[in-house]
Amino acid sequence: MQVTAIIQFENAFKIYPNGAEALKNINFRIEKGEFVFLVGSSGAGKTTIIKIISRELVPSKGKVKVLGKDIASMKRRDVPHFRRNMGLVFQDYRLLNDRSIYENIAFALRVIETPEREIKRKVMEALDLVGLKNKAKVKPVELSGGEQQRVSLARAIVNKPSLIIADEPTGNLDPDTSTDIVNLLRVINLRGATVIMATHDKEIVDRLRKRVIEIEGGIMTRDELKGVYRHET
Amino acid sequence: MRPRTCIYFIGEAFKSIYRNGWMSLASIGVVVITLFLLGSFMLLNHNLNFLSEDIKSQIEVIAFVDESVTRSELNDLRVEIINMSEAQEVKYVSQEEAFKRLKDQLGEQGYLLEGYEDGENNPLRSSFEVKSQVPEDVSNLARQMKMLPGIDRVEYGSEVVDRLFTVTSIINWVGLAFMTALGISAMFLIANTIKLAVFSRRQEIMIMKAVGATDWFIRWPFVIEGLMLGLIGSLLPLVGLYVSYQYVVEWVYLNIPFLPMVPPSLVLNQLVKTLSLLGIGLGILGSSFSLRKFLRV
Repeated sequence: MQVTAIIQFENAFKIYPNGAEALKNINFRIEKGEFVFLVGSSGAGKTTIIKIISRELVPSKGKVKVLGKDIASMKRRDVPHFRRNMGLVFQDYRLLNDRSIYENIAFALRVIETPEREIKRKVMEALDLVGLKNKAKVKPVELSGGEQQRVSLARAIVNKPSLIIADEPTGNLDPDTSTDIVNLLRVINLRGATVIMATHDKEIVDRLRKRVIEIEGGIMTRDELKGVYRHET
Repeated sequence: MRPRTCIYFIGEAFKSIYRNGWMSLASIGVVVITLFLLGSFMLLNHNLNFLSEDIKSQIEVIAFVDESVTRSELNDLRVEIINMSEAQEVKYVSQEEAFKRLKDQLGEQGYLLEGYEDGENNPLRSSFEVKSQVPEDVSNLARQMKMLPGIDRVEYGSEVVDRLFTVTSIINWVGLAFMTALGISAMFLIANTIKLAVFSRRQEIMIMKAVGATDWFIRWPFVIEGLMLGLIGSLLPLVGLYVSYQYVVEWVYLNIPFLPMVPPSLVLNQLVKTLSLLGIGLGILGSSFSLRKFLRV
């Protein structure tokens, strides 16, 4: 049975120009509406997978399809429009400190030439969802880490993408704040977006009991529904 | 492109120029120097050409008459020369007149000529001075006159013009080499400024890429920044040369009236076009150079 896969890795390899094998024979499918944790130690290949999904990198061998598009054969000029269907969240928030929260989110819409009359509505909607509507005029440096990450989440969802990719979004946050962020991701997931979150956070993974894909040394060691961070051996 | 987007690009470009103030200033400075020199050379060139045209139009052929030619033969010669289609103005200069001219030229040293005055002793020849219709026909005219019986020798001033052309072309080549070198350094400075601009906005560029801004949306502000640096750099030499050329022409007209100058109205239009286009060109080239290298979007 062929359900519409949002992401599909088929025998995918990634070998960097220096010969390092970052990914070896990766196979998985992620269906629409799933919430998936991508776990593994640092340097295991999590980020490489995320970069292939967002087409920052292309697989060296094998096939990767994201949102129905083949990553390897995608033309350069098609990449920007492809990315407009996904929201990216990073560990370091990547906010612009010289402008307000509102302007940070509006920036993401402005650079894809969204009509100005839609910008305000969309930005306020996204800020409302992450609970920062009353801080629209504040600059990122005046916010806590958790609040900054919420801004970056708002920026990722402002264009209503069908796929959210979060690379260690709680990496710089304390446990309570991390829970807030993951709860927000769950809300976004419940509203229909597929969510992939690369993480080190054992506690969160164990508590949520979502699908877990584990990568170690470039090899996929586990793909488990309702999984935990690591089975005791 | 939406007008709003266009305004956004220009705004971003100016912000960036302001943010990298010193670097921008240096780029503009080199563009100013380059274009100032280029403009000066252009004006100098125009005037040298103008001058050589002027000299060419004054060129005449001098045909010296053989001593043995009689008075009636002389008249026949004169008629024959006048009938040549290239000849425009024919003037006969007798031995005596030639002697008088030489004496006038010598001025105080005129005493040197004492004892040569009388017919037999006069070492000078009588001659015909002929102006041609068209300057380019001078050598042709000279050749024809040389073949006439009774003409001993023919001279014309082409050497002066040739020499002037040689000087002009040497100045041109040296100038061109110099300006090319300066132009290249201006381009590199602009490229470097843009590189810094790209570097100082790498966070913004990263976000733009992540949210799906197109390559050209990311590039435009930098292209415009380069263009602005070039354009601003061309304004100063433009105004400077515009004003100073008018002043120089006026001064020459009053003080060296016999030196012909190209009227300002004839050259300044071309100067404005050339310099501003070159400035813009330098800027765009410089920034595209940097964007290719440092902005792999």
